[in-house]
Amino acid sequence: MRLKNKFQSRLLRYYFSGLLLFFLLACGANNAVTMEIQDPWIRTPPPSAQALAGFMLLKNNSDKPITLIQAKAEGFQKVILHQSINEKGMHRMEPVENIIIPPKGELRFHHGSYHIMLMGLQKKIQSGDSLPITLVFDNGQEKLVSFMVKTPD
Amino acid sequence: MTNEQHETDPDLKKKPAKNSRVTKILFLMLVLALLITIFKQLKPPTDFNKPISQKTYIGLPDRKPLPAVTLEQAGKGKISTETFQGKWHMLLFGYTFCPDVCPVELSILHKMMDQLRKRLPAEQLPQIVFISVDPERDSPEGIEKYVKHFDSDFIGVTGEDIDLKVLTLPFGISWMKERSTNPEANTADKHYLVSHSTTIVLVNPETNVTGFFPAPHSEHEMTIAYEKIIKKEKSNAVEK
Repeated sequence: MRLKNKFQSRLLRYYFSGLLLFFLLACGANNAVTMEIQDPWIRTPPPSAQALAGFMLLKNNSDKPITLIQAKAEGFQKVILHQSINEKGMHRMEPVENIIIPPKGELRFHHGSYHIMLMGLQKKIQSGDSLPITLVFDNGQEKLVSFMVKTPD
Repeated sequence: MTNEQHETDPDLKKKPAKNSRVTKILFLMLVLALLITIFKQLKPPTDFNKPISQKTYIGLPDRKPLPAVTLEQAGKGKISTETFQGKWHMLLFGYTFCPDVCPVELSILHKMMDQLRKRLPAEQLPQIVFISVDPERDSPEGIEKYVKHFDSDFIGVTGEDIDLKVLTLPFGISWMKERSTNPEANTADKHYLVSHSTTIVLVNPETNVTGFFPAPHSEHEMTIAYEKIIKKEKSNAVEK
């Protein structure tokens, strides 16, 4: 019982010091923590697929809007920020130049909406692979993100 | 004295009363749970008596025959849409360079087929046909590989532009190459996009188009709708 308490209090201490460190870093206006990317993934492509789509959740932790202006990836002929639009039973895709993530807000790239369009696949990829994609923001920040290749349920 | 008795009496009575109330509630809950389970097992897993929502399926009041055109399928070469006779078919349109919508559509149809395979005999299952409206880039072999990735029972075809137009025009299915969105695009650009209808066309064994499944699609709703449609068709045939 006592041991457990000791363990818990130590855990708590770690937790608080971690929290303190986080706040210190955040106060230092470190660019690395202002834009957070969660659940970056790519749908496992069928064997003959030439184009892939990347999805993710973008979280802007800063108090200023941040704009995603470009995505870059090796091994493709073309990488474009895209949006799927369904209008009156017609599906189409459009390139988008600026994707604004509001301050303290988030934006999800998902099916039927925003995605990173990767065209002209030059090598084989399969489930379990991870694909590095660099995201470029208007504040000069570049973020290298590893996208998981998977089949969603 | 009498007062005291009066005060203690209800207290004494309260306890057993409370207990019996709890038992009653528990009993009622048990009965309710039992009834729900029985009810769930009695009725078909889906609301079979409800009419099909127009959001899921739009039936044509007058059936239109599917135009007879020539398409191309890997391993079979040229095939006529007349060979669709004798089996229900679901036709969807897209292209293999489509990274977002087409894969999702095909996986929804795969899930629908999984449900239908459990519920219907093989001869009543629909044949899913993915028709590429981008014959310029999509080879029959490529399309076949693309669709088989989702379900080994799916088939993929394409055809000449003119045949695709003749096939789809009567049903308002359309598509368009989007070269304009790309300023540096020219005819040599292999990375053009294609806008296309997401409607799925249902064709009966007499190769008549009976109706459409408009997007967005749900495997669950489509399974119920399909089963209802073919049952109704069967009972109509008997009446005739």
